[in-house]
Parts: sequence; C-alpha cells; structure tokens
Amino acid sequence: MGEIAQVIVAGLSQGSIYALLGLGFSVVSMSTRVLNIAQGAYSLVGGFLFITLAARLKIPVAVALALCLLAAIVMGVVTERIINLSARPWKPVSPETAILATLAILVSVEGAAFLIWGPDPIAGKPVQPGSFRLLGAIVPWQYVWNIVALIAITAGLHLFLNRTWTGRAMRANAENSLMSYLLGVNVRRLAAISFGIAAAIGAVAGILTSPITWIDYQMGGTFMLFGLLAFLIGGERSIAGPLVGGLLLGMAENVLLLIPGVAGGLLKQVVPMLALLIMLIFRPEGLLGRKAGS
Amino acid sequence: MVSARLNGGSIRKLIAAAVFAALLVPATASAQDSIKIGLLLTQVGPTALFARDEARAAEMYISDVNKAGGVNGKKIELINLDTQGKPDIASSLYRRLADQDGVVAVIGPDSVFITLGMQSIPGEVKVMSVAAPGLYELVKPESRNYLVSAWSAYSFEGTLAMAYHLEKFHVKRIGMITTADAVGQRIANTAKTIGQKLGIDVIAEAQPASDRDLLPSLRKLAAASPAIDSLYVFGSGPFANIAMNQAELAGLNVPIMYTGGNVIPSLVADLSPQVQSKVFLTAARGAVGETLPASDPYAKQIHAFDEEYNDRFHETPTMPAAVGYDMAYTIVDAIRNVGPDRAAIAEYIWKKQRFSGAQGVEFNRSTGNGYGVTPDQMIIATIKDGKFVFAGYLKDSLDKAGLTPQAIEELMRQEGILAH
Amino acid sequence: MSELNISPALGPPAGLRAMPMATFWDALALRARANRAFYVSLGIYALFAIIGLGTGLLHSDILVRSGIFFILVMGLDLLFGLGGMLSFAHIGFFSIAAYTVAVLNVSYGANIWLAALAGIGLNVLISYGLGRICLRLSGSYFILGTLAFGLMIHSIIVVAYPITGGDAGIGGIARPEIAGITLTSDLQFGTVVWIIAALLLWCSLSLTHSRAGRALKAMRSDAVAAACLGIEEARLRTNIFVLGAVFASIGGALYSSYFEAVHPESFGLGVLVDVLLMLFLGGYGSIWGGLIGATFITVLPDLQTWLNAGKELFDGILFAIIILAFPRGFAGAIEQLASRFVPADAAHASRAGRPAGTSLARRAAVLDESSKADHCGDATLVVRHLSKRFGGVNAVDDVSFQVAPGTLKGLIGPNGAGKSTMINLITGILPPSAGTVSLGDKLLTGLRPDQIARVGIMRTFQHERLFADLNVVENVMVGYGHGIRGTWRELLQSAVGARSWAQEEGEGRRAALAWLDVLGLGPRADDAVETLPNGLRKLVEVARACAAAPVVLLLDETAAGLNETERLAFRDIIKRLRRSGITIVLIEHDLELVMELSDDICVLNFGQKIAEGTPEQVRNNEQVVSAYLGAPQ
Repeated sequence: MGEIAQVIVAGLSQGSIYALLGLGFSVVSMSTRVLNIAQGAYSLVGGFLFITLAARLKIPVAVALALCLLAAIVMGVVTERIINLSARPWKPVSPETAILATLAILVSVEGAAFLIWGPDPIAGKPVQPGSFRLLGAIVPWQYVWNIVALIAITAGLHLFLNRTWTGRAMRANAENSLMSYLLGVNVRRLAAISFGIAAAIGAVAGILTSPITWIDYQMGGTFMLFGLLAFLIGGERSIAGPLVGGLLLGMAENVLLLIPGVAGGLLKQVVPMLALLIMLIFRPEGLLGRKAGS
Repeated sequence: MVSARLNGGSIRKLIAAAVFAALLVPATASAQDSIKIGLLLTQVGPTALFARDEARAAEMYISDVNKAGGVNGKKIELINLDTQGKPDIASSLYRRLADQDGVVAVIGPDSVFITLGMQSIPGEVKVMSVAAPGLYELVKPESRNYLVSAWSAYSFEGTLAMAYHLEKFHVKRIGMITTADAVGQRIANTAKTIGQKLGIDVIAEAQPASDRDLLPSLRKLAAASPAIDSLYVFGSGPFANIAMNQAELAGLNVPIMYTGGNVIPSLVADLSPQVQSKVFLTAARGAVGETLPASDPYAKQIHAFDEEYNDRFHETPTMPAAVGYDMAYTIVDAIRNVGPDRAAIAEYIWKKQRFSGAQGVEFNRSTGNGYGVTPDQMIIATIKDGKFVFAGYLKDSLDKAGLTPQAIEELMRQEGILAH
Repeated sequence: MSELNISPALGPPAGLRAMPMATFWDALALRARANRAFYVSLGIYALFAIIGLGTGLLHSDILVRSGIFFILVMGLDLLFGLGGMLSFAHIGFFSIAAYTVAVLNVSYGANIWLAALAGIGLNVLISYGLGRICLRLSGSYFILGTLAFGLMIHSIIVVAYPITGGDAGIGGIARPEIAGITLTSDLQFGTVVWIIAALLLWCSLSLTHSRAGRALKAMRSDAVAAACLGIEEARLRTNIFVLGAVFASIGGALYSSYFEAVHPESFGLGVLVDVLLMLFLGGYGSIWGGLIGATFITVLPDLQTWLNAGKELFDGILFAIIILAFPRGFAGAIEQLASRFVPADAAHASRAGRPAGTSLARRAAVLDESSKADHCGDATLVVRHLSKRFGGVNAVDDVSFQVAPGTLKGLIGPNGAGKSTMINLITGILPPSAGTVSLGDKLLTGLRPDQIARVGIMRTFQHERLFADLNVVENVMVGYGHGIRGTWRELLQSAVGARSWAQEEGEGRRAALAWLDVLGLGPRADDAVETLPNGLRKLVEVARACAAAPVVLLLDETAAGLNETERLAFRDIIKRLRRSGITIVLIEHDLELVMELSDDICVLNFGQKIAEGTPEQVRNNEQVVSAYLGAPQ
C-alpha cells in the first residue's frame, strides 16, 4: 500500500512539473504555431538563477523570484524576436526554421550554463523543507507545493485567457491569426506576451523541481522533452491538454516503477518516446485536441 | 521554406569574417628533442571537474620533473587533448597521439565508457594507456596488454565496504539503489555475490541513470521487510548525489555506502550533517589526506602531495587529482628506467611492483591484474563538515569477516577483475 | 491498378521526333555537365586533402570521419533540401546500422560487408514503417515524430544491454577486407569511404537534376498542384525517406567498422546537433554542400582547443547565426556568386533545346502538325448526379452533364455557384458526397488526384499554383510525361541511367519550350516564377497542363486577371487545342470568350444546374438571364 501511495504522490508531483512545462508549449502555440524547443532553457535558467540568488547570494526569496521571472520573460521575448525576425502575419515562420532556431538557442543556453555554473548538479531550496507521511508514503512538502503551483498557475491562466482583453485576443489569435491581424489585433505584441508568459511558467517549473531533482546544465533538453510530451499527449492549444498530458505522463512513469527489479527502470526509459510515437500514429491531435482543420 | 535575411549583405559578410577569425588559432610548434606523453581526458560534460583536477596534478608533476632536469636529460612534453565525451573522437585522438605526435605513452582516458569505447586502440597502435576507469574489469582481456587502470578505488572494492558495515553495524540486509543499465546491474550482481560470502542479504532497486527523483525506489527499500540495515548507493554523477540526499527523506536512517567515482567534495556538499555521519565508503588514502593517522606508512607522501597541490592551486586536492598525479608518475617512472621506448614502457608498467604515489596505495600489477591494487589496501572514509575523513582500514573489517586474501582473490577472478 | 493507357493526344511534335537519340557517351557528357558540382567539389576537396595531409596540418582521421558524415548528410539533404522533409530520425538509422554491424560481427563473426548489408536491409524495413507513420504528419509534427523515433532508439540501445552492451557499448569490431587487404590505415579506409561517397554524390546530384528531382521540388512547393500533374506524393515521399535511411545506414556501417566500437554516446543529441550544423553550414539543397559542412564541423574541435569549456555555447551560437542569417550556407553563397559569373549556362541550355533556326510561326506549325497525329481518347467525360455538401451547404447539388470527346464545354455561373468545387470533384481533390464521375468506361470517383491525372485529365487553378522552387521552363517540364509515381525504378533510373535521362530531359525540355513559345513566353523560360506578373503565370500554368498531353483539359478561370495581349494568346491556344481534338472544359467569367469558344455551355447557380445548351440557347434562357446575365442584347 505504501509503495503504491508513494508512486502516486511522486507521480502527481512530477506530473505537475511536466504539466507546467507543457503549458509553456501550449501558450506559445497560441501566438505562433511553432514548437519552441527553447522552452527548456527558461526552466534551466530559472532554476539555476534562483539558487544563485536565493541560496548563494542570500537575496530575499521574493526578490530572487521576481528577478528570475523577469530574466525568463526577457529570454522569452528575445526568443520570439529571434524566430520571427523575418516573419509577417501573412508569412509566418516555417516550422523548420522555428525548430532549428530554438534548438540553437537551447544549445547555446546550455553551453552558457555550463560555463557559468559548471558541470555538477546543484540542489535547489525547497519552498518548505521536510516531509510528512500519508497512507504509508513519505510526502516531501515540495511535492505539495508543486501541485499547488500547478493549480494556481492554471487558474491564473484560465482567468487571463477568459476574462482579460489580451487573453481573449490571444485565444482569437490562436483560432485565426491572419484574421486577428486584419481586425486590428497587435499580433506581434501578442506573440511577445505569450512567449513571456511561457518563459515565466517554465522558470517556475525549474525553480520548483530543483530541490527534488537537482539541476544541471544538461537538463535543458530533458525539460523541453517532457514539456513537449505533456503538450502533445494532452492536445494542443488548451490549458486542459498539457494538464492532462503532464499528469498522465508523471503517473505513468512512476507507476512503471512498481514493476519489481530492473524491468521497471528499463521500461521507464523507453516508454515516453514510445508513447509519443503511438500518439502520433493514432491520435496526433492529442487526447483532448480537436482534429486539425485543413 | 527557410528564408531570412539581414539587411545589407555587408553585415552578413562581417559576421562571417568574425566567425572565421574566431576559429583561426595558429598551430603550435612542438619542441624537438623532448619526450612526448599524451594527456587524453574529458574536459566537457558531467565529469569535467575530474579531468580538470587530473590534468592539473599531472601537469604539476611533469613540471616538477622538467624543473629537475627532465628524464635522462630530456624534457617531458604533455600533449593535452579533449575527448569531448565521445568515444569515437577519443579513438581518433588516441591514434593521432600515437601516429602523428609520437607519444611514448598516454595518460587517460578518464571515464569508463570512453575507455571501453576505444579499448582496442592502445593495443593496435601499441602505445600504453594509463587510464582511470573505475570498472576496468569490463575491458576485454585481449585489449588489456596496453591498457592499465590507475584508479585504485574500483567498484569491487567499493562493494567490499559491506564488510565494514557488517563489522560495525552488524548488518544482515543491505538495500541497494543502482542504475537501470548494464553497469548498474553488474554491480548489483557483484553486491549479491559478496553479500552471499558475508552472509548478508542484498536487495536491489534500479532506476534509469537519468532519473532525478529516486524517492520511489528509496521508499521501496525503506518499506522492505525484513528491514534493511544499510543502504548501498551506486551510480556516478547526479544519480548518486540525489540518492544519498533523498535517503533521509525516504525514511532511511541507516548507514550508507557508496561506489561510483565521485569521491569529490561536491558529492557530499549538500548532505545534512546527520546523513554525512552515516556515510562509510571505501576510498584510497589520498581521499582523506589530512585525517590519516600519523602512523600510516603513506601519511608522509600524501601530505607532501597535498601541500604542494595546495600551494600551487590553493585547493585541497581531490581523489581525481591524486589519480592524475599517479598516472603521470607511473609513466615517467617507466621512462626513467627503460627509456622512451613504447613496448618497453608497457612491459615495465605491467611488471613494476611496489609502486605507490599520491593515492596512497601500492600498485603491483601483473598479467591479468590491470588494477594492481588489492582491496586490503583501501581505507574506509566517512564525512565530516563536508570533507572526507578517515574512519578505519578495510583490511581490518575483511579480516574480522573471515575474508582471506585468497577468498578475495577467488572472488576477483569470478568477477573478471583478475584474468587468468 | 491499371490506368487507362490513352496515348497522348499531343505527342512530341513530329519534326522533333526525328532528332537522333543521344549516344551513351553524349548522354554521359550531358550528365557530367549537369553534375558539374561533382567534380568541382571533389576536386577541390582532393586538393585540400593532399595539401593538408602533406603539410601535416590535416590529420588523416579527419579525412575518414568527414567522409562518413558526408554520406549521412547527403541523405539528409536529399530528404530536406530536395524533399522538404526535416527528419531527426536518420541519426537513429545511422546508429541502428552501426549496432547491427557491431553485433553481427562481434557476436557472430559475420563479415563486415555482409553485416553492413544486413544493417541496410533492417533500416529499409524500419524506415518504411516509420515513413508511413510520420509522413502522415505535417510540419512540426513530422519533425517531432522523427525526433521521438531517434530518442527511442537511443533509449532502446541503452536498455537492451544484453544485446547492445548498454552504456558499456560494443568493442572489437573488425575492419573490413577488400581483395585480401584489411583496411587498417586511415588512408586505406578513407579511400574506400570516399569512393563510396563519390558514387553516392554522383547519384544524388543526378537525382536532383532529373525528373524525380523536379517532382520532389514541385511536391515540396505545392503538393496539391503536384498531385494534379500525376505525381504520387505518398509513394515518392516514402521512398525518399527510405533512400535517406539507406545513406544513413551506409554511413553507420562504415562508422562502426572504422572506430571498431560503438557506444550510445556516439549517437546522442549532441551528434544530432552536429549533423544538423553540417547540413546547414554546408548548405542544404546543394547535396555537395555536405562535403564542406561535414569537413568543417569535423575539423572544428581541433581549431578551437582553447574553447573547450565554451564549445557547446560556441556551437549553439554558430548554429543560430547560420539558421537566421545564412540559411543557405556555404553552398548557397557559392552558388549565388557563381550565378553572377556564369549565367551563360542557362541560356546555352535553352538554345540547345530549340531546333535550330525556327521562327515562332514555324514552331507553332510543328505543334499543329503533331496535333493532327493519332488522337485516341474517344471517351466522354460523364458527370452523374454529382453532389458535395459542406455541413449544411450544398456546394454542388445533383449536377449531371456530359462532355463529348473533342468538344469544348463552357461552365459558367455567378460567384459561389460551385464551378471550382466541380473541378475539384472531378480531379479528385475533394470526395463527392454523392454521384459519380467517369471518363468513358473508367470510373474516376474514388481515385486519388494523381491517379486521375495519369488517366489524362489535367487542370489549371483559379489561384495560380506554380511551383515557386522551379523556374518557368522547369514548371512546364513537370507536366511532361504523365507525372512520376516515385517508384524505385524511376528513382534508380534518375540516379543512374544516363541515356534514358538524356532522352527524357531533351524531349521534355523541347516540348516545354515549344509550348512556352506558342504562348509567347519563350524569352522568359529561364526566369524565376516570382519575376512573372500574374497574367503570365497563369499562361505558364496552361503550358504546364498542355505539356502533360492531356485527354481532357479543365481550365479554371484562367482568363481572370489577364491583360488584353495575354487574353488573346490564351484564346489562340484554345483554338489550337480545339483543332487537335482534345476535350476542354472552360470555366470563365469572361462571357464573350465563353460564347465564342464553346460548343455548348452548362450554367450553374447555387450548386445546381439551371441551364444547358448551345451558347445561343443559354444566352436567351430566362433563368440564366435573371441569374446574372442582365438584359439580352
């Protein structure tokens, strides 16, 4: 019983992080139909920077958090500018250019992180240290905070997209970008905003996960990959999609560990990519997505 | 279609010119009439700090040698190359060192998988490789003629820390967390074999080496029934770090032993004091430098090394530094005795007995024994204030457990560490 | 599936048919000129290698490593540069081949060459499967699917450690033997690698400069238009995907035998980034650019020893700069330079295509002559109760009509009447909700657009759809010869055959130029499509459809947007086509034109047929008048 409970709480916690990473992809896809490979870089920088500011330089946590979010937002906006250097509302950037350019950005940021913070992984500060027992499982408080953060950010995003003008404009833009442009929506500004939001969410994910999973310069790719999986499994262009995808992914990964011995660990490595391939074969629009129109 | 243009073809030409300029580095001319030794380490990736320390200590030693007049009147030149973490590049570079640079021996490679990836090359080009893999037993017997390991604290020895745990804590059951891959599984089997000999029951859980949340496996171990008395952590890189740190969180308040090569401060820097005091692992004397008992026969040479390194680099040397020093020393010692002849150097290193350096062990290599170090030379270390400190001699625990040198030798043959 | 084998109503003009067939050596010479990048690039590389090795600045292992990766990058370039498919999977195929050789050789003692063949065979099977899956996806999703595969292979290699050795890898792979000599030295191995690379380079360049290459570029530019010209997209894409896998396999097999060991780290994400860098730095689309890219990236680490810790950062920034500022890479830059100095080649080729000393009138006369040649195709185009519903809207509502062979049927109606939808239904772009279309006794409903095109039904588009990646004459040449099905036979012929290629290219070019001349577009033959005004582009589309030698020609509002000169040229060509006995369906808003040219007219309104008959009858029909004609004159 305790084993199962442990796996479930670990799955929910990890799944929340994956869901946050997936939301980053989802928000970006509202402004441009690109897959932002650099999404992983925001989590990387957010996590590292927070540790440096809060733990090493002893800056107050709130200030450190604000600075990290600011840095991430700047990175996000810069990413958008770089990709859309020569794009226009009627001539969007090609998927190949976007993927390759953001891949280049991710590699660069990982290289910079290696130079600044070295090769060793470092541990982050938990929001609240310690743990408690629940149904035979050990639940670090950080697990709870991960789930809380997911709920809070999801709620915030929902309000933003449905109650504010900018948010509604973003949803309209997601439906039909050219039309929104012709109706006077400042599509460039929307793009910058969506990238900024995605980057901020990514940074939060990095900050939250680093106390448990530590953080090292090679994790940019890992963050990106799991966010992408959550996004694709759940389905594009919605909040619920990455949520469902992320939580499912986190749970599935950890449930595999119930298999005794080494088989669970082995399967855990292969299953994510296999799941993605299967999704792409049978349901490329994701579990919750609508079939893409022509 | 990919299409993007900067305004003005001139800007693009400037960028192109700048990129090219950044790449042109004049080729350095190598001095004539010097003896060349290759230094082939991995300067990027998670083990980059190892390489840095290894290279530092090796260079320190070589510069000392050159200052004292070189070897038989000739200066030693180190040719420093980066494997970039890729076995194929390491292969090519090794060949280059042999064919084009004319080195007489090579220090490196440093990590086990690079070594394994290019293991047939040293024998092909007949240039001795003094490498630092912690799992030399995975090297094929036919590739060992020109390849030895200078890493004294290898995994088999690390697993023997069980004897210490048995002696001090009377453990009957050990839970192991290891990586879900070939290497991790092999060590788990070794642990079970040794456990059998010692009368200790060993259970193992595995997660992928890239996993960062190890609580599920640790919890499984914590929930094992009958309960485990000790935790064995295997894995290099972040895996082991995280496992050790999460152990307490998982409710495991038991002694911890560790194998994986990261016997460097950053492995343990973030461990809480309670956990630190529970860690007892196998190490070479060089890891605990200052805290060695004064009566230890190696205390003096280790202190000398530590002091010199500290003077030069303002840092206490780590285990990799000691290994690097020993690698360089091994080769120079050979050159001193048989001259800059590749085959002679290889033969000498294989035959040399009672060789010791900064790690504080005695190397006695022989055909089929590429490590040249037996477990009874190791010490047990624990951690205090983030540093490794001396806790005891492994030999004592082995004796108390009734593991005779012959029994150990038999086990080593079983594990392929000693070839026939 | 058998297609209606209707011989072209318009074959190569009789006069041209009399030209002598090229001999094998002539053909080879022609091919060598088309493939001049082959010997120029290899020649310069050989020079570079000799100087480098001689002076000792270049290490011999660079030679081998750059050759191996050049082969891999060539495959990627065929996929992306030619086919527009960016695949992250092929590094996975590279590793599968490498591991196959490793396992077969080390565990079973298999001969390296045989093991390599096994690796290629295995990858062909896998890539067929993967191709079917991924090629259904578009854009980013295709790239993702391939990435997922690549990463999955990496995981499998680590996880299946009893076979693959996992993190420990497999060592002790033998070097191959040729005629009793084991390739132990870099020079020996490198020579073999470069011979293989040169062969593959030749074949790849040949493929690029052939019908198959044009078809790929056409498909990449506009898949719908390509299908309507008889290009079977799915098969062509799949086969190119598999071809890329074959290249990757060759590279992988050579890799594992050269390094005598394989390890998962050698095929990870970092290598993928390196390979992409090679492709883009070298210049995608050129094929030979991979030579520069592979060599540069292989040499790079040696040049930047001082950059060790900063290597990844440097690579990332370099990559970003190339993607954003120099997307065409070195090859693109060099080709741009070259085009400034060597424009003559194109003109030379055009001149070569034209029969000497013929005037426009004479050439037109030749076309007329041939059109009186045997004209088969007495088939009637029959549309029966055709309907198309979109949600609640009946775009086409129970329409039936027939087009007698050799006649011209006008199809008119106000905007939104369903005319273009009708054409889309006939050509198979849209499936009907009800009803059938048949040509003679051959049922067309349910066939793919490319199948219908190969039956002999060609069309133009309301909004011009020329292939942006091809120039004018190449656009027209795409039509010639009933499209390409993308079969292996076609691909191999394109890559290897010299005589058939020369004949094909010669005929195709001559026919295309003849059609362009008739429309008065001869001088613009070698121009880029984007330099033509809209009206001329529509005429080029007509030429393209005609060059395909159709039995039935569907013209969708071609006259819209033409100026007076262009309109007259259009009218003339319609008249010529009529004389040749081809069946034509003409959709127009230009009623004067329709009334003048049509044998009979069908009128649609709101998706329904409201009138049909001779121009006289239609003009006086009250319903038609009230629909949109206005008061009778």
